[in-house]
Amino acid sequence: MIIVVLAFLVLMALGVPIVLALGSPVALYILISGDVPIVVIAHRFYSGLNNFTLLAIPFFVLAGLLMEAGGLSRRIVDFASSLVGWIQGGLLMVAVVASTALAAMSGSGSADAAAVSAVLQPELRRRHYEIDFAAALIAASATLAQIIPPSLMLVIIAIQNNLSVGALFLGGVLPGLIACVLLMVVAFLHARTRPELAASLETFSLRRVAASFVRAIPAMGLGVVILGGIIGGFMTPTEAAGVAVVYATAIGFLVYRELRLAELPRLLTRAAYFSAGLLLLVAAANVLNWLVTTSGDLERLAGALGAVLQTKLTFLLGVNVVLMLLGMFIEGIALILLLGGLLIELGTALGIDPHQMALIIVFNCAVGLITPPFGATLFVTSMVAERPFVAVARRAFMPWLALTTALAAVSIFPELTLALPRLSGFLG
Amino acid sequence: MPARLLTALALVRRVFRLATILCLVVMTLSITVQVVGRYLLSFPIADAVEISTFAQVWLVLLGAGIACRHDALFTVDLFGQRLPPVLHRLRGWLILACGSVFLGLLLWGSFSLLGLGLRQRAPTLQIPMIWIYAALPIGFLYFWIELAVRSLDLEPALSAEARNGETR
Repeated sequence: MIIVVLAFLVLMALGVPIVLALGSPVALYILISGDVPIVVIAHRFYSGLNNFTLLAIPFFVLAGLLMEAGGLSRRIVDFASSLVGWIQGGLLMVAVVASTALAAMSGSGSADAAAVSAVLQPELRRRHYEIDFAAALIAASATLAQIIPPSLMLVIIAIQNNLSVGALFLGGVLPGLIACVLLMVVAFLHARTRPELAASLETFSLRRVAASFVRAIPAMGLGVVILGGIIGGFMTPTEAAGVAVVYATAIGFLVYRELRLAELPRLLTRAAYFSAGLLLLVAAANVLNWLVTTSGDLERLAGALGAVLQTKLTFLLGVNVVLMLLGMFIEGIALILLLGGLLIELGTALGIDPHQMALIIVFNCAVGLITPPFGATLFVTSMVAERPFVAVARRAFMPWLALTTALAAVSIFPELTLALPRLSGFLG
Repeated sequence: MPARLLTALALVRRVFRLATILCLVVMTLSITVQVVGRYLLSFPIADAVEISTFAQVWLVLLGAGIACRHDALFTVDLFGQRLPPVLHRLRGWLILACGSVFLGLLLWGSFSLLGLGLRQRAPTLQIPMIWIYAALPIGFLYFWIELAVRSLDLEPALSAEARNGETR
């Protein structure tokens, strides 16, 4: 199995799509070993897809696209702008607050990053903000979509490890809010070093706040429907995701009237192929996981790691360092599918709650979205800002530090993750 | 690539695109009916779970080829477009080789699964499972075709905008 994992890493580094880099060594291993019926492999792949909870992924992707096309995202950015745009460095604050608000409605950070960037970029330039830093900050804020519910990564790790999606969703709320506050502090400190930004401050107007709030109510209702539905026990996360699609469509068509019927096929196709790309990975990983589990290699690896990392603190430190490094090179969802099960098993043996461990893993993967050389959301914001990726990446240190500080807090204090799920009855 | 093949491929793409859209619509409607049925009409609609899950299976397998065509397969690209043409071609062959091994094995396995599907029935809908398992060979075959076209640059380069334009 070690050869399979090494082959996967080499093929992935050579630019082979991850699903094929993962699947081809597994296929060769099965063919050579000859002790697994081929039909089992096809069936494992099928059963990886035949999962009701996974439906949340295409739904949240589609809901994100509908929010952007239907004008919902723009209303939320406008409201955030009226709320915090008057503070020094206000537009940066707007970016953080709007991203956090969008994170509570969408499961995809890239879509949020694109939406916030596209709306704010012209204004950031007009007011002479440092574009590279702003792009890096927007990218960091957009990673909150993976921590604040609903989150695609949380859905995937919950399914992979038979954890409660609802508990994980609630567990992500406090860590996400802490990260949001820390990113706002970074924005404020940056603005203080640029006194010229003070000259372009908006004045605070309660009337404007009220007007933009009223305009954003239908858009923000989406968050209420999703989170209220899940926390209130009216809907499962999957059902809430489906209802989010219907809600975003209705608001885009009937209230804001920005969604066009002719646009729907394009949005549906985009959601379909993006979801297919993601879920193929889940199905291929299901084959690998089955193979690893049946081979007994997982237990051996767990035993070896457990012998080295014997206390909670060394384990968590080791996990965070390794995941942070791997997250620089490996796509977050692939990382979860490869290591999520093993790390949760090891953590549980050391007395770490699996939900806390899952949040720590997802948080690391989220931070990986802004660390070069493969920071996915950093790519999105640098593209929208029309700036070189390297220039934006150079300014990502402070936002990265803010996220890493929040991650450290989540690792040290389990209650940050577990308090809300316990209060809501999701955990005993 | 011969023009006749390109025309046939365009037709296949159109069918697959429409089918994936249909799957997504069916999934959304099933879930909505399930939620509405439970709370507003006060009756459970058990079939909705199975319909939407099966639609998802079809969506992913039919959408795999489309994802490949739109470069939506998750890839870690260390070299980007910086590779010299010879190495770029070599990488294309490597990707196709990996795809052929993996998809070939899955295709082989899925034919055996079709045989099982003739005797198996879906727990709730009670339809023969062959209707669901059929998505596997069809999807894997189309995925492989798109992979070959992309990896070996078999058709004139289309811009992303032009590719998106096809979806309208």
